[in-house]
Amino acid sequence: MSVHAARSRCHLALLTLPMLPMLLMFSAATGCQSAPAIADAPQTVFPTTPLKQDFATITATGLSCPLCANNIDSTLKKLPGVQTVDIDLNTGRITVGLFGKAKPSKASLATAVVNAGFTVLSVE
Amino acid sequence: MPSPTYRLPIQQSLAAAVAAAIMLLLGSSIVSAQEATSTPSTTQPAMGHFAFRETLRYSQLGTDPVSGDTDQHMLVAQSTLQYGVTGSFSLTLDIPAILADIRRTSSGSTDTDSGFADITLTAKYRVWQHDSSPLNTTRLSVTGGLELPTGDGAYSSDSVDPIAGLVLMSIIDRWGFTQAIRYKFNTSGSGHGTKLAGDGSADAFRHDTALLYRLDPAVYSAQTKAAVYAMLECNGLYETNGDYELNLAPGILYEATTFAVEFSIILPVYERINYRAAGSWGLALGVRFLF
Repeated sequence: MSVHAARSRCHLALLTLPMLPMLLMFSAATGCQSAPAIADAPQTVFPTTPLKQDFATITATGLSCPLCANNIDSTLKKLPGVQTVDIDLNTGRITVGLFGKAKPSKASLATAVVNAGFTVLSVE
Repeated sequence: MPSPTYRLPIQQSLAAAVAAAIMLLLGSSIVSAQEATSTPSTTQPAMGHFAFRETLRYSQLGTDPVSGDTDQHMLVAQSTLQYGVTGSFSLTLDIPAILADIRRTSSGSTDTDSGFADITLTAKYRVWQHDSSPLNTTRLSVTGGLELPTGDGAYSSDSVDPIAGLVLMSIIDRWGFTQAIRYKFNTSGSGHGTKLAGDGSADAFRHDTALLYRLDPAVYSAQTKAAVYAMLECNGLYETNGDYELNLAPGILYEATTFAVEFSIILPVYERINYRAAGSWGLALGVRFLF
């Protein structure tokens, strides 16, 4: 290995140092706590029969912020029969207003949320 | 040897850039959120949706050791279009446009350059995700892409350069932490002096760290329509020719449900640069729209 290559690798190793203080700040601020591992629940297989009710409630995790959650709003509203979507970031509860004769199934609602990048716990 | 000047009519370039931006805006749908200005994150548009982001970066540069040009002011307008192929796989197209005022040492005059830099095509795949509560999440993504030599003269690396990277993001309550690393393999190298960091003849390793803190609201509710974050970024660029720069960028991010605005100040904290002009300071302004 040339001296130049060895020096380059040494430099690369040193480059990891600046990120450590910010990682430590993050760890200290959050306490590295782990929230209840509700997302570790086994994957549920949701029924594919169309819903008959006017409202469905989806519980999801990992919503992180208003714009992230807007992915859910957009994907759900693409489904036929979905009229309104209200998202409570604090509880992870997504209330879906349904209309018409061709309403979506629990499975299609869950798939839409998963395709938006989030984890679905339940669809009621 | 002075680097060649590549000049396009400014009005023509700006008109093309504005037209491209409008077309992209009209076609965009979802924006990636909780993403700091200069640090890639693991967020992406939902499957079948587009995201569009426009970031303006102004930087004041020192003397270019190759061309001898001084008092350089550079504005980089980066248009980013992202498409969600699946819920965990996305494609991204970055198109940087440059506008620069440069004082030529050779002639003593001040010239204005404009043009496009190299476009980059990147694929991002989320390999791991743990959503631990309604709000909290930790995600790991791998990225790979190509920088294509589409840029104008001194704003191009003149080669097809593969890029590989890794991004880890964790959001816990009001805090967000992102760590990204990217390595660009320069396959042939620019035959002339480059004006852009990481586009010279050497490989480039970027390490970006971002820390976000949600200032408002303290607690989300069903009525929450926006959030304000304080950002602190630490962005480093090491090139295998020995050049290294490390910037700190404090800033603020406002996210509504249909748009987001971000602003940060770029402050160099360490520079050892011999092959291009070093930056003295900079500003970054980003806008994301939701249609």
